[in-house]
Amino acid sequence: MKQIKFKRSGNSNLVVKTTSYLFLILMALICIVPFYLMLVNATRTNTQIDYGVSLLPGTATVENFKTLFLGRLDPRSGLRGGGLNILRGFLNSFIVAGSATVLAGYFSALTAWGFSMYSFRGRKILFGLILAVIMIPPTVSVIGFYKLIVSLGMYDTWWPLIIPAIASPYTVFFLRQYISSSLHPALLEAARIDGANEFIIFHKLGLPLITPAIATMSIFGFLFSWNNYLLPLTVLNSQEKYTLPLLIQMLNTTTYYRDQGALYAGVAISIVPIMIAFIVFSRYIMGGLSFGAIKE
Amino acid sequence: MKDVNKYGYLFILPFFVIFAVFSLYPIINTFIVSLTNEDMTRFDIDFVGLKNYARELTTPLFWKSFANTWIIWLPNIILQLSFALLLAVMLTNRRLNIRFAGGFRAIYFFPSLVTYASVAILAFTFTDWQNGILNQLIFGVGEAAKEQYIFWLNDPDIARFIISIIQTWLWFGNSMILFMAGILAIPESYFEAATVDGASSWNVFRSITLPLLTPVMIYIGITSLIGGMNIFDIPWIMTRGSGGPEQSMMTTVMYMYNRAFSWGALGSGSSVAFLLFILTGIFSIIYLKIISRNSETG
Repeated sequence: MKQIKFKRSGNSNLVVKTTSYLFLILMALICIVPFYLMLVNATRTNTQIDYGVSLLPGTATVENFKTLFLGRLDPRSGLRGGGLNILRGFLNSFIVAGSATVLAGYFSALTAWGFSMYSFRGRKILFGLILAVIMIPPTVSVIGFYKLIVSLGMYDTWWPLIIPAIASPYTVFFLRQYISSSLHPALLEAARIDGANEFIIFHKLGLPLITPAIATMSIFGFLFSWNNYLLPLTVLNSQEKYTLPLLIQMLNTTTYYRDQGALYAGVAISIVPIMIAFIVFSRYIMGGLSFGAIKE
Repeated sequence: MKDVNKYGYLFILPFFVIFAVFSLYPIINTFIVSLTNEDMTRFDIDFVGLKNYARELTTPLFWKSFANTWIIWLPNIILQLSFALLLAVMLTNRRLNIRFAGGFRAIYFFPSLVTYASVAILAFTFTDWQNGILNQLIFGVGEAAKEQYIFWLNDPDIARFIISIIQTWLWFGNSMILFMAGILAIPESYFEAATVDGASSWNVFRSITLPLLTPVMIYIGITSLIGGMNIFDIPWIMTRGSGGPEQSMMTTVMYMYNRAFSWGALGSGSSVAFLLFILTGIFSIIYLKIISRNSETG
């Protein structure tokens, strides 16, 4: 019997390759399947969910969302009560994260521009201070932050979640790297000779040049604000001001605990926009990551 | 033209005003509060020195929460680094030449973008005793199968390990991308020279790739240590702040938050915040010492 003999190395290479692909696919499934099951279960009735795992959608999508927004149906009275206004939370989060992102983008660019285009005394120390604070977690200061917010009369408002974005150390750090690696202070000289004011130079010349980097950081900044839980939990009190994570957390109460279809629908509302944003912006997100990594 | 550099101060001014008020002052203020007996239920505030610190250091629940935090973090960082390193080596290996590598990278990274609150609720629901997907997948459905169902979140060890797994699941993709960038930054000639000398893949990995990844290791290790010591959202939501069975999922920050905001003891809560800060600092330095010594000898 004549057979083509694989070279030993070729054969073991094939085994290694197949095993690698199997492992990679398995890990990919581990990342995807939980979200897929969430989406499927958001469309199924409680009985269907009780009946076991399914990869096919069910029939209760509308009913689940009704239960989520309006509350459980009382079969005797035909009334609903105790729903969660997730859409309101969605809107709230959008306003908070959107405002914070715009502020962070503009003021970080301003700060980074100042640090890279001018050599003033104390520049290194001040920048070092920014770097040091990146390493300090917000939990260290949360009690002091809470007291400050109360004394400023900002308790139970969105201000404490928006204004601090003006000082976003990580964005400044990233933008300064970007400016230093792509622009030189000498660039300003020509504009200065034309008699342009320093702030006009920043707005007309600097800002357009940094915009790609601001866009990348804005995606991360937005997500950071969108996902933030500890600070809203500490400074918000009335439910109509709650950001999305605070409302999502309430799914962990008996109403939804017994109504898993609605629970999954609620979680899906919070995750699907992030999925869409990731698919749309993945080039920038992944690009921004490796940029930061190489620069480190 | 000489004065132009002074404009630098104007550019960075807004940042530092907000920075001073909303970042620096709260840190200092928390420290000051930690030296008082400030309490939401009382009007009079007295300076008590280091009394809060002394009391917390002798409170069993403080140490229990601190231990829990470590028991959650250690398995997490070991699993996270192992998976991240293995996958990074696979995806950057020239001979394997994996197709769709960019797609795998994106998929592994995605979980870290998802809101912790949503992840916590998902995990809580998946591991539910009666209707959770985890039990359904392992034991099947129906009355007979239900007899065997495990009450995962009621077992202290399993509950903590579930948090470790969630953390790993969230962050291994992020670490993997950092490792990949580190590996790709190693000059190709190093690998070629080793291959010419007849080194095996394992030896190349051990004596070239791994030592040159030390800076990435330091970065991931320190950020993960700081993040891990400050873990709050997921165990807090999964246990509705209670800390779960035998308070096994009570982390240090949860303990601090309960002290300050559930019981109103702002003074002792602040001292817990600073104790955690100091302890994290100490462990970061120890970690840096160990890893720099290893990279010198190895």
